Amino acid sequence: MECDGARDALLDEVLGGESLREATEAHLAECLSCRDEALEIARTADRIRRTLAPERARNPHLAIPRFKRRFPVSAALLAVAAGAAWLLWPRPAAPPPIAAPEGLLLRIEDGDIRLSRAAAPPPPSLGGIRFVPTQYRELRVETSGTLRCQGTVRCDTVAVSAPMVRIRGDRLVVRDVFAVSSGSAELQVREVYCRSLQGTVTAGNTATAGSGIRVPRGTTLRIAHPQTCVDLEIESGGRVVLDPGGELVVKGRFVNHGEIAWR
Amino acid sequence: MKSDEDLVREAQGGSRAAFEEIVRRCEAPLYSIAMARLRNAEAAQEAAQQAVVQAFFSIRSLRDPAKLRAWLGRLVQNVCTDEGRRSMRPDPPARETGSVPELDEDLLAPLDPLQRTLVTLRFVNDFSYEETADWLDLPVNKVKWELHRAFETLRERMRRKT
Repeated sequence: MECDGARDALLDEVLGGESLREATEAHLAECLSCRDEALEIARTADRIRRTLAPERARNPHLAIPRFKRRFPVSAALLAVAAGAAWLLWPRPAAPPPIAAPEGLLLRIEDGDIRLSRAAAPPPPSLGGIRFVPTQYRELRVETSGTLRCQGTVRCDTVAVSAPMVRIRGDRLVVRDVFAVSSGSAELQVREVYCRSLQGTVTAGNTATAGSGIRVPRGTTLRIAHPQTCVDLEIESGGRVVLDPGGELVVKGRFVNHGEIAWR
Repeated sequence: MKSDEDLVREAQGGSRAAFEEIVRRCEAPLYSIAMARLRNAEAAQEAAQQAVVQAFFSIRSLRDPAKLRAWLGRLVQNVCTDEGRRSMRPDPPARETGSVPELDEDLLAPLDPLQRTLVTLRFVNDFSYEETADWLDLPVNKVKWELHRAFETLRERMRRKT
């Protein structure tokens, strides 16, 4: 075996080709430069292996759809099948709401995501998406792709394959809504945050928390979190000052005869 | 152990267990291919999952059961291509770094997508030339040639770094 052949064989062995170890070793025993080459190839392979070690350790655990096929489905009919499956899948006429810890309810139903308020205080913010507190707030989403639910807010997946929902930036992305399984999954929302402050900012009033916020003229009402939502009335002479980056998310009544300022 | 062909036939006949076994056998390379293409663990998991869902709904369209791996490989690559197009839109989805470490971009960056895929299948899944060729539906010689080139590129890069 010549040097070229030996080096090619060394590479093949590292890269998944046929092993010609015996022939290679015979050559290496006689050729110092190929021994160096072999060492360097081994070092490079080792470095690549170490780099990819986390991936080697990872097991993707892909979920298997639970939809029961009753007839052949071609790829071209995929979307139709998914739609039909939604219709065919047995589900309660009105799925009961599931209260989320933060008072949020996310329900995936017929390809839409519905966010609604659970028992106690209010939803309006979900990963940057704000909802006014109507009974149900529909968020229409694209229905191709994958959904993953993780985390803290319950997500009632009426019929979703591998229930996956993700939030990307300020968008809730829901994809691949196949009628496959029922059940619930968890949705992680980084900032579900809404302190509902209700009250009136009236000139000359004293501030009290709880039933309402009344602040004397010139008093600063700090919005503790950018996504705090407030239901208030600013009367003439009243003034609300927001911290930098703060935004006033008003749900329900909002009357402003006064002033809103940013610090 | 049943062959892939047997499992495909059973899955095409409606066996969920057979399909599950196919997924169990194929999920790691599916993920690896997606990871090599998308270079993001979360997106790769999604793409692989989507490929499985597509396979589930369309496995009866697979005419040659012996080509299962090539077929799955194509599915996941198509998903990745779509995902790539999506992420090139003006408002690309924010990539969140999950708990899964990303590939060492610095090391694999000079490789093209095919080479990254080959290197990943070799060094993550320990695939031979033949297995890689099956998955990517490529001639063995092409796999070998590209892998050699990729390896040399990486070696040269490491040399320069040290």
